[in-house]
This record gives sequence, structure tokens and C-alpha cells, in this order.
Amino acid sequence: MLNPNLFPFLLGLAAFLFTVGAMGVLIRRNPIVVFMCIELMLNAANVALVAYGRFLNSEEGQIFAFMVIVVAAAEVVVGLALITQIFRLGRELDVDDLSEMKE
Amino acid sequence: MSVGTASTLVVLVLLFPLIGAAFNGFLGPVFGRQFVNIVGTVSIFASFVVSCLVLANVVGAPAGHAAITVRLWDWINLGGGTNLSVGMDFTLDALSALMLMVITGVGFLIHVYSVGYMEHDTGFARFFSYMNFFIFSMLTLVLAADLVILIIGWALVALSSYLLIGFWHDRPTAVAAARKAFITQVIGDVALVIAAFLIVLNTHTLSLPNIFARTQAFPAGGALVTGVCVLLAIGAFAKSAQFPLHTWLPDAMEGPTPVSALIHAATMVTAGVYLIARFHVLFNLAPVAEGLVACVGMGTGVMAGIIALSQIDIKRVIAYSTMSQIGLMIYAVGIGAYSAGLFHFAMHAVFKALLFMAAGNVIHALHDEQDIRLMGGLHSRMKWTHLAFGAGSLALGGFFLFSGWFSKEDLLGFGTLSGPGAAPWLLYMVGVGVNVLTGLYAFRLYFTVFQGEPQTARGFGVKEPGYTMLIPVVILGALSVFVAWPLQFPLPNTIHVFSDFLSPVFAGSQSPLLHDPSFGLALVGLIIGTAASLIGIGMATRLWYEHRPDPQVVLARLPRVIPLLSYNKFYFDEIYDRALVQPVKAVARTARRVVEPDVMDSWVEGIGDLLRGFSLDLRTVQTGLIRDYASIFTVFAVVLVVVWVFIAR
Repeated sequence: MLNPNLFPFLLGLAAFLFTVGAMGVLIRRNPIVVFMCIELMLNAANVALVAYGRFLNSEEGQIFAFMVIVVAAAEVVVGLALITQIFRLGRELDVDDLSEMKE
Repeated sequence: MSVGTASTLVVLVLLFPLIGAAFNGFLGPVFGRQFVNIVGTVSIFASFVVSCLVLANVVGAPAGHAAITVRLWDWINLGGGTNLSVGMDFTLDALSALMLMVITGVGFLIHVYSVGYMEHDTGFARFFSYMNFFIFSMLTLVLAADLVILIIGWALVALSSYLLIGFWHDRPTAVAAARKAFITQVIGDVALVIAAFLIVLNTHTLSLPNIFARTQAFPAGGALVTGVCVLLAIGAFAKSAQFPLHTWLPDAMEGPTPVSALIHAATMVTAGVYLIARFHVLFNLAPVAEGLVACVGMGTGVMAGIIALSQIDIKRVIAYSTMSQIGLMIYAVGIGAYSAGLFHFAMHAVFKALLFMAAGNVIHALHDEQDIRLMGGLHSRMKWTHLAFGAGSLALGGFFLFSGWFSKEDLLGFGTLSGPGAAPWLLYMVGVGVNVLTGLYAFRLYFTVFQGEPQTARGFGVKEPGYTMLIPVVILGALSVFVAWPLQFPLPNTIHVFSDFLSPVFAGSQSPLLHDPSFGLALVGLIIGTAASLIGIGMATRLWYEHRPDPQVVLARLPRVIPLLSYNKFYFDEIYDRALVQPVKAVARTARRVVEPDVMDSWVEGIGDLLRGFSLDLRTVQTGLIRDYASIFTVFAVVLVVVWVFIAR
């Protein structure tokens, strides 16, 4: 059994990681870095899930964490494939440059 | 007559024309003319045979059991607390038996005539389909024992009239006439439906026998029953071409001549007479409405008689004479002389169908010439038609011992002693005047068309038409001489087969206006009426046969207003055009010019502009920058969490 006093710190860590990831997504322009930041957000969520699972004495948090890892892995496949394709088209790797969907 | 027999008879009499209409309409163009001719006439003949059985059953029924109402099936059952139901109810009694006999009997002869008349028309299948359908509608109307069924028959009759007036739909005048007739009919339909609503509201039933049994819902002479009867009368006026809804009937002559004979002379236009006779129980409670009906009928009788004197189209002359004679019938049912009015209806159906069909023969022989000024001298060239037309004219003119004399004098005889005050006497004197007018216009037509010399080259070469067109005319010609003899003599305590036959229908209630004239008074009335008819016929003979004096001379001596009014049909079409058509068109033009662009368009375009502006603004949100979307997403996620965690809980 972990020390219950650790719980706020774990949640704080998760919040910190999530905020760093979110800020990265909003600020950085390189799609690969944006991608890494998304992974950071997902893992922050994982930390929170595992911490809750641990402190509420339930295995559901860990099961969810595994699900998130699986989804993240699938997402990495798609995302990196997209980035490779954009690169192959000879375009600059800049999310602000990829704005053909505007009105 | 048992319920089973009655149901079978009702089903058969209605089914034959309906099947005929369906066969002619759907299979006629496939199987050709012979098939259509046979189906069209045989279906009506079968219906006529069934009508004879109905008549035999009604006559043979023991006293007090002559009327029977059958329910074929429940059509609509509202159930619940209202207890209101619409049943396929039909009544067989003396009144409906009489109507059946006239509709199918005269109708059959006219169908036979149509075989010859439509010989060269390509639309024969459509024509016979419509004609059979008309017979079906008319039979539904006169058999109905439920307000809803009655109204359905009423409207179907108007529909078939519309279809048949506009039968030659490539003629703009025919289409316009059909539309005019239908619109006028709808005015009457609306009045009839409102009357039906009032009746249902107060009696809580739709079945006619029940309505007539619950007259305690209507205080005698009260505003309610007067209103109901006036509305019913408006419906009757529209159907029977009475003032002020009469202008459609002359235009309806655009239809083929058999249509004019069947619908616009013998049957449909007398539906108003039937309606008032059928609702006599209510009318007898509303003397004011009865007085109105009598005045309108007599007024129309005089007006149409005056107009008929100066028309030059052979069919229009007969149309106005129809209007005038129906005016007399309406007058009769108005003063409560129901069997007299219906007797005139039956006699009129015979001789007016005859006159129309004989006129059709003339028109045919002269290659579609309808102007009587271009006719003349046909008596030796069309012997049978001439004889029949002469018999019809004598019957119409009320010549002694011809059918019209019996019915018209019978009808006028009741006027001598009805109601309080001087008004009935005045109406009676006007009726005597109508007798003079009838003799005048009937024989003006006869002499102009058949006597003298042909006015065109074609007139010398005319021949009688084929047998299918001649035999019905001759049969009706013979009938218009003899048919009234065994039925009714226009004096009390003589031959009264016809009114005795109808008396059970009208036994329950007596009009407060009507008294049976005494023998002496009736005799005086009869002599005056007969003399008036003879004066009319005699004047016509002097004017248009002997030309002593020449009609033109008489015309010049009359005040100018009379021929003007007569020739221009009292300017009713012009008045309606100015008072109704032009204002409506003006309103429509104003709406098109002002209301539509300024009001409607500004509304519609305003909403459109608003939406377009809004969406133009909204489009700028779509930047295409992923980081913008992510920012909005994040901000709203944070807001959502904050709201959920700190405020909503």
C-alpha cells in the first residue's frame, strides 16, 4: 500500500505533464513535436488513471491505462504515417502551413 | 317491401350506372363505339327497370309502410358520447321513386338519343362515361337518407355537370362556362354545408328521418330554423339556377345538346325543388323562408320569361324557359304545394327534354347552326321533329289538355288561397303573367324555327336525323301529350293519382301558408290561367306567324328599356363582372404590385439576408489552423471542467 499522502503529488504530476503537453500542442509548430506533446498528454492521463486505481483499490484504472496505451500506439501509427506523407510531398513541416481546410 | 328487397333495389339501381361509367371510361376506348353505345344505354335501361320495381313496391306497399330507409353499411362511426354516425342510408319512398322514374326514364331516352348525336364525335367513350356517372350521382342525391350522402350526391352532380359542360374542352367558351357553373354550384354547396352543420348541432344526428323526427329542436318560426331554411334555399337556388345564382345555366348550353336535355333541363336543375320538398318539414316551420323561396321562384319565372323573348340562340331560349319553369316549381314548393311543384317537375322533365332533343335535331340538320334567325321553314322538311317540337311547345305553353297545362294550372291553383295578406294574390297574378310570357316565348321559338321560309340555303336541304335521334323525340312527344291525363286534373275532387301517390311523404306536416282551394275558386283560377296561356299563344301566333303587326313594329313602340333589359339578360353578367370579378381582379393586381414586392418579398428576403450575413461571419471562424482549433478546444474543455466542478455541483 502506498502512502496516501502521495496521492496529491501524483495527481499534481499528472496535471503538470498534461499542461506541458497542452501548451506544447498549442505553441509548437513542428508536427513531430506537437505529436510528442499529445503523447505527453496521454501519458499524463495514464498517470492519473493509475494513481486513482491504486488509491481507490480498483484495477479499472490500470485497465484503462492499458487501453490508452493501445490507442496511443495506434494513433502513433496513423499520425507518423501522415507526417511522413506530408514530408514526402515536399512540404514544410509546419502545422500553420497546413491550413487548406479554412473557409 | 322488406328491408332486404329495398337494399337489393337500392344497390342495383345505383350500381348499374356506376358500372356503366367505369366500363365506358376504362374499357370504352379499347372496345370501341359499339361497346360504349350498348353499355351506356343498357346500364341506364337496367336502372330504369329497377326503378319500375321500386315504384311497384312503393305503390303496392300497405298504407303507412310506403317509406323505408335502409342502411347498406356503417360508413363512419364516431361512437363515444357523440353517438354520431354516417351510414350508407338510402330512402325508398314515393318522392324518391318519382325522382328515380324521371331520372332513369327520361335519362334512358336521352342516352339513346346521344348514340345518334355523338355518332361523329371521337370522345364518345368519355361522353357516355360522364353521362352514366351523372345518372349515378343524381340517383345518390335523391336516394340519400343521410345528410353526408346527400351532400356527396349534391356535389357529384355538380362535378358531372362541370365535366359535361366542358366536354368539348378545346373550346375556350365551353371551359369558361363549365368553370362558371361549378363556381356557382360551390356557392350553393357552401350554404348547404353550413345548413347541415346547424342541423347537426341542434339535432345531433345526420340521418334525415331522425332529423325530421326531432323538429322540437327548431322552434317554429324561430331565427334558427329560418336561417337553416334560407341556407338550404340558397343551395337550391344555385342548383336550380334561380335568381341571383342563375347566370350559369344559359352558359351551360355550351355542352352537347343531350347534356342540356338531361342535366340542364330534366334532372339536375330540379334538384333544388327536390331538396326543398325533401326538407319540407323544416320549411313548414319557417314561413319567412317559405315566402322568400316563393318570391324568388316567381321573380325568376318572370325575369327568365322576359329574357327568353329576345334571345336568338335556340338552346338559350329553351334554357331561359327552363329557368322560368323551375321558378314556378320553386314558387310551388315555397308556398307548400309540394306535390303540385313535383308534378310540374315530372311533366317539365318530359317536354323540356323533348324540346332540347328536337332542338338538337334541328341544330344537327343545319350543321351546328344555333341562331334562330337563320332557321325557319323546317315544318315540311323535318316532319317528325316538327310534330314533336310542336307538341312540346304546346305543353310548355300550357295549351289546354297538354301535359304542361295540367301541371302548371295545378300549381297555380294553389296560389289562389295561400297565406295571409295580399302578397300571395300578387304572386298568383304574376304567375298568370308568367303563363302569358310562356305562351309567347314558346311559340316565338316554334314559329321562327319551323314556320315561314328557310332563311339560309342550308335550310332547304335539311333532312330528318337517324332513328336513334328520332325515336326518343317521338316517344317524349307522345308522352308530353298524354302522360298527364291519368295522373292529375287541376281541380279538387277529380283525378288525383299523382298527389295521392305523394301524399304520404308530405302528410306529416302542412305548410302554414297553404290552404287547399275550394272547387269554385280552383275553377276560376283554372279558367284565368288557361285564358292567360291562350292569350300568350295567340299573341305569339299573330306576331311571329301572321306578322300582324310585325314584331319589329311592336318592339319600336315598347319603351326602349324593356328590349334592352331582355336582350342583355337584365345585365346580370355585367353586374357580377363589375361587382365581383373586377374588384377581385383589382385586389389581386394590387397584391401583385404592392403586397408581394413590399411585404412578402421583404420578409422572405430579410430572413435570407440575415442568415447569409450570419453565416458569412461564422465562416471566418474556420481558419484552417490546427492550433486555433486546439486552443478553442482547450479553452472550452477548461471552462467545462470549471463549470462542472465548481459551479454545477
